[in-house]
Amino acid sequence: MEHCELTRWLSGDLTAMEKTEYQQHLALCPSCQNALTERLTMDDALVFLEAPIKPPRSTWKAIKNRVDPRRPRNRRVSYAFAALSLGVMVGAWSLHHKAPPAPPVFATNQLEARLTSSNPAIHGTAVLNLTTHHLTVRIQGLATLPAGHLYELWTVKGNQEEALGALNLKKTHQASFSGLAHAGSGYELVICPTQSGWAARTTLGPVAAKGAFTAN
Amino acid sequence: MKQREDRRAIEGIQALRDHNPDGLKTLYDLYGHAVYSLAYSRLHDAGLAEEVTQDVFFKLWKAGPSWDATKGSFRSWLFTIARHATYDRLRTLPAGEWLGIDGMNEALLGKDDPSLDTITDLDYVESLMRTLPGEQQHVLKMIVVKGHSVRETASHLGVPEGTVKSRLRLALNRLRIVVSQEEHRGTL
Ligand SMILES: [Zn+2]
Repeated sequence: MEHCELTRWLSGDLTAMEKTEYQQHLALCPSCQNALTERLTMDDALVFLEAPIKPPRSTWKAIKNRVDPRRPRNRRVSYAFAALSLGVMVGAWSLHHKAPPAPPVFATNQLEARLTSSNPAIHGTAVLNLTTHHLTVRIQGLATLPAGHLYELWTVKGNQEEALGALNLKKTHQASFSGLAHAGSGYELVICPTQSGWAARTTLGPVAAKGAFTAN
Repeated sequence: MKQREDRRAIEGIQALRDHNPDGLKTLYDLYGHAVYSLAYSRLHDAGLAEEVTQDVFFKLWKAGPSWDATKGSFRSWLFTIARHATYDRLRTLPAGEWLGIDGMNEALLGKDDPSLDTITDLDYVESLMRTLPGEQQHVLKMIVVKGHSVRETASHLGVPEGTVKSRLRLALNRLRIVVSQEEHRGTL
């Protein structure tokens, strides 16, 4: 089995069946196990070198308390702030926002979805070209997310969910997406904030905005 | 830059030998991000990553004075300690989505994983990383370091997913050479 299966597995790109096959193979193949170990070492080394995440300030305080008993021990700081709910943040977006994005021009082979949210500041439009499968999304009012988080665009139909990609969010709270989407009438578009990176993205997160495609 | 980092690290260790907590602060300022990022990338939890970081620096407080340059660079040595602490903590967690990877389990990450006892030469990895073309470095940073998916990276860069995958494969193949060489060298 090719090492590239490993890369595809680690980046979550194998189908359920491929994954089962790969894992069964992995359990029996020392060479692939070696490749996995190597890859984890390499990934760890790169993360360590790049050091993309800043520890909370409480970390050093706690270490200091452990090594320097001359100083009075502080009560452990609650980490609750680290688990700040994204759902709340989306709702708590400030009130200033600019004019809504210009309405797109429709042709007969296009479907449109109006994206709305419980927060009236968040609204936008999605246009899907049924010939080219090209999807363009413009939305405004989305709250800025903390570092390491981003908005994802999903299509949902029945119990089928598919992540299309990340939204490009600008400082003006306007966000856009342009890419391929195999969707059509009856599909719903959902935008949700998610933690980028190591969080497993197998299900939808909290909903920031959504809308359904209807024939124009 | 790297030389100044090394000089400060050695100053920090000297201070540790005098039981001076300021030495630990120096080392924390240099490598606290690195240890925390590593722990977070594997544990996916801010609280656990913080615990591991505390443990690593507490270990450093005790064992740091025994570090000597024959064991490799200080940060490579610290990297090994941080990996041990992270994977030990990981093993105490219920299996399931270990490392955020669906299907990862303890059997695949055996208790006697030899790579955990091998000192990876981070200086070499870093220098090799710099020899990669910019577009490969970028993909490596987005996917491996920041943990974005191939799809997100493709969308961010505005290139097809296939392009992202091939850049990633090229970059990893180049870097794999380092780890393989390290493993042949055996436990230090
Ligand atoms: Zn194999």
